[in-house]
Order: sequence, then C-alpha cells, then structure tokens
Amino acid sequence: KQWYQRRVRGIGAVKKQHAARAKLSQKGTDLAELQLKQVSEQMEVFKTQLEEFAIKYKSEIKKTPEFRAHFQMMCSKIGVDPLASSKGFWAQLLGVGDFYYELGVQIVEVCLATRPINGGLITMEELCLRLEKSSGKTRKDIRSDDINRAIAKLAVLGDGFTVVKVGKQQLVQSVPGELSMDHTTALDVAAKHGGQLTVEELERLGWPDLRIRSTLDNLLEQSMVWVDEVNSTYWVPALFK
Amino acid sequence: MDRWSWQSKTTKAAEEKKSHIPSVRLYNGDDKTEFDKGSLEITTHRIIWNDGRRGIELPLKLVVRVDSVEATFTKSAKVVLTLSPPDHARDPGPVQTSKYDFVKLSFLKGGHLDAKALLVSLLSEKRWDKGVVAMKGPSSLMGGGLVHIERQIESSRAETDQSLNAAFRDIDALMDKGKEMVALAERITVKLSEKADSPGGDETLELKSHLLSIGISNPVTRETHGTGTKYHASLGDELARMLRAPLQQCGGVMSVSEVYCRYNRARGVALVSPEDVVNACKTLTPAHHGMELKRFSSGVLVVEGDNFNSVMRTMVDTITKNTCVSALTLSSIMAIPLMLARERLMAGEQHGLLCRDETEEGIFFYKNLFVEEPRG
Repeated sequence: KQWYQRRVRGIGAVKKQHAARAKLSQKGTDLAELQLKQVSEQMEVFKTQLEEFAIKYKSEIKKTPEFRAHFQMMCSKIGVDPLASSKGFWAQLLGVGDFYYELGVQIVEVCLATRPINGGLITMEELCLRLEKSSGKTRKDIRSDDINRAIAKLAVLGDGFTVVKVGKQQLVQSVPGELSMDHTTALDVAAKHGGQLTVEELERLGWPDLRIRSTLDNLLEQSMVWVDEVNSTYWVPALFK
Repeated sequence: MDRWSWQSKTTKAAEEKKSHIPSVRLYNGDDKTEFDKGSLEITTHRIIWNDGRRGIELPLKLVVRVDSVEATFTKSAKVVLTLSPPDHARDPGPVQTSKYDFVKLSFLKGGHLDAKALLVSLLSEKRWDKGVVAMKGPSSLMGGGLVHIERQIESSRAETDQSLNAAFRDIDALMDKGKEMVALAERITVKLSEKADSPGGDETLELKSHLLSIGISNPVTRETHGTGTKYHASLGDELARMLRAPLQQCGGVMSVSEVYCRYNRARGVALVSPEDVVNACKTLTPAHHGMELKRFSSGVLVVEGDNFNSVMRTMVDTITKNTCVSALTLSSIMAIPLMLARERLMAGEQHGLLCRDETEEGIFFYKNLFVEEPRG
C-alpha cells in the first residue's frame, strides 16, 4: 500500500512539472510569434528595397564583373549567400542566380565534353577559353572569381567538382576522388614539362620506385594520364600547352 | 624575357605614367637576369625598367595574368607576370628567345602589392586599345579634333568609373539593411532553438523559410527545410516528366550533373540552383515517378529509372557473352559514358553480380560464378 502511495505522489509531481512547463512554453510561443511577425515585416521592407535596387542594377550583374565582385564581397561580409536558394530574394528579384547557374551549366558541359581526353582535369585557363568560345555574345567578361563561385555550387551535384592547385596553376576537377599530394606533385612536374611526365623526373624528387609506380598507376586508372608505350613516356592531356 | 624591347623614348597617345618603384630586379621565368636594381615605371601602356644605363619596356597587352608571391626570409616579394606568346613584329630587345612564358618582378624595397593592384586595374582598363591614332604633338590642324576625342573618351571613362562608384554605394546601402535583417533573424533563431519543447513548430518552419529567402546559409535550415518542401516536390514532378524519355535512352541511368544541365537548358530563364536540383531529385520515388536518386559510395549521384534491374541483367548478359569487360569496353558496347560504365560495374560488383580482376592492363569484370549453383 505504501509503495502505491509513493508512486502516485511521483506521478503527481511529474504532472505538475509538465503543466508548469507547458505554461512557460505557451508564453514562449507568444513571444516568438511576436518576434516572428517583426521578422516578416522587416522582410517585406527589405524586399521592397531590393526590388528598387534590382530595377537599377539587374543588368549590371550580367554585364559588369566589378559589380558582381563587389556585390558578392558585401554579401559574404554580412553573412548571406545570394546563391543559397533559387527561391530566395536574390535569385527571384535580382536574378543573381541566373548568371552563376548558367555559368555552371556551361562549365559542366565543357568538363563533360573534354573528360574523355583529360580524365576530368582541365586547367582554369583552358576552361575560360572554351567558355568564352561557346557563348561569345554575353560572356566576354568571365573572371576566375565567377568560375570559382559557380564551381563551389556545382560541388553538390556529386561529380566531385573542385578547384585543385597544382604548382602555380589552378585545375578544375570534375570527377570524384581526391587528388593526393603525390598526385598534385606529379601533375606539377608534368606542368613544368609541357604536360610530359617521366619516371626520371619523379626519381629526381627522391621518390622510391613503389611510390612512383603507385602514383602513375593511380593517375592512369583515372585517365588523367596517358602512356605512350612506344616511348615509355607519360602524358597529362590536361596540361598540354 | 624575349617579350621585352629596348625602351622607346616616345610616349604613346593617351599614355599616362602611373607609378614609379625603385629597386626592382627582373627574372626570366625562374632565372635571375642581369637586369638588377633598376627602377620600374608602370604606365597605362607598358612597364619600363631602367637602371640609368639602359632601359627596357614590356607592353601591357602581352600580360595575361598577374600574381604575387609573398616575401620569405631569404627571398623578396615578387609579382609574376604570365605573358602571351612573343609578337614577331616587336621592336628589338635584349633577349631573343626564352623558354619561359612568364617573368618575375622582384621588389627589393617593397611595393609589390601596390604594383600588382595597379597592374590588375590597368589590365582591365586596356587603355592601349582605346588610344587615339596620332601621337601627342604640335599638330595644330589635327590636334584640335583629336584632343577633343581624347577628352570625350576620358570623360566617358570617368563617367563609367563614377557610375560604378555610385553602384557600389547603392550596393553598400542595400547591404546595410541586409545586415540588420541577418542580425534580427539570427536573434530569433537562437530564441527558437532555446525552446527545446517544440522543435518543429510552425514558427520554426516559417522562420527558416525567411532565412533561406535572404540567403542565410544555416546548415539546420538546409537539412530540415531545404528538402521535402512543396517547392522541391513540385520541382521533382517536373523533373520526372522531363526525364522520362531521355532516361530510357540513357539505359536508365543519368548523372545528376546532366540532369542539372538538361533541366536548366530547358527552362531558359529563372534557372534552378544545383542544390535545388539535387533536393528535387531526393523527392523522386519509383512508385510515383518511376525513378529515384541513387548515391554511389564514391559520392556520385545518379537518377535511376525503374528499369535499373533489367539494365543490370543486360549488363551481366553482355559481360557473359564477352567473357569479361573493362569499363572502357563496356562503355562502347552499351554506348554509355565511361563514368557511368565504371559506376555500373561497381554497382554490379556491390550487388554480388560481378567479380573484378585487377591486371596491369586495367581492371576487368567477370560474371560472378561463385554465387551460381554448382553444376552436376
């Protein structure tokens, strides 16, 4: 009997706690509702301001790289990503998205088209050239900053879009799989010799045979490196001049 | 160094001196040259190096890129100029040929960052292109008209600069308001997350949609609100409709990158971000759309039609007929891209349908006979 009484007391206390918490959370909800209303109102004000801004500057985004650069810099300064959502204000009112997403489409197309040759690695330089060629009308002023931003957004597609630094060059990778330091070092050596990679050069770095072999095999498997069996030389098509 | 010419004393039309930096050494690619401790003059048209005894110049139009390298303990700061191939019609210079296509300017007494910034802005202005035909000189007949044109070009350039500055000011004003918004939204996010009792309330959802509208990259926003919204669901429906036919043609599998391209090309305007395409694909179900998103262990994302199993069977049959295939041969036999051939072989292997044999010539795949019933 005692045990039963103690148990009821326990349940009662818990019930009381629940009731108290519920009351507090109700108050909390009211407060939050008020603040949310405030946010909504402020959003409307901001939206109007953005609409006015867009009337003046919508075309500048596409035309003027300096404008784009300043705009992006200010956005990151205040902590917003204008490319975060196609339904966001920036995309809908200012059309920022259109510029970068279209650039993204073109980058994907160039990378897919050149992949059979270079295995999914292309220099930033070649990418820029091909982009300019493919749609000459509006695309004369693409800066590497624009390309970098577009590629950052493409990463989510799962094809391993990243920018890799090889020596002084920037290469755009469009296949999954991380390029290790050994890979990028070997590519850098190739870059210094017009795209040719020899075992001797890698030996000169002090690499043991096994390391040279495994790096070359790895790159060969990914089709980033081709071998000329007649002359026993290796070539990186992405780095041809 | 073979793009430099001996310094010409005549000033080009509309050329303006922009900067003068002492104590600069020139490098031919990575090699030091004898052009040591001279002063560097940067104009709107060229870079001139002069040490009092001799002077050489480099036209800015040959400069493709400007980079800077910070100073180390033993080396001074440098600016690296990547150059386009030498012009055969150039004026004679100190060096005939060079194996490098870049030069370095070593700033022994500093000033490299300013020089780099200046060069970058001069390269974007390209004043040598906008130059007027005749040289500045006492030609009174032509002088008047040309000077007037020069002035017009100058003033229109100044106008562009001014309007750009005005644009920058407008951007900054807009961002001031944006900053307030961000701060407000973040305060409320904190308050809402403190309310541990109702994590998924309507307010949270509404707030998160506000955050996304303004572009606040909040991982929480993305996870719970980014996926499965009505927007993405309707996008998914649209995608499914668009992809049905092409998917059949591609053997039932298409990379999400390709989906992204096809969809946006079809749209033309109001393009959709890569992220939204991926989120839309996540809403695809075999039951409703006849296709779904699949993720390989490599991270590759594909949309798979419900004919996937039949595709697998076809692949295994093809392999059996050919004894074994590599990714390359499979891609040509089945007429699919190499990437997808590779992924399909991996998928087949993961499903226990295939076995691999790694040789020097590459990786070959065979039908997995280990799972077959032993005969006789």
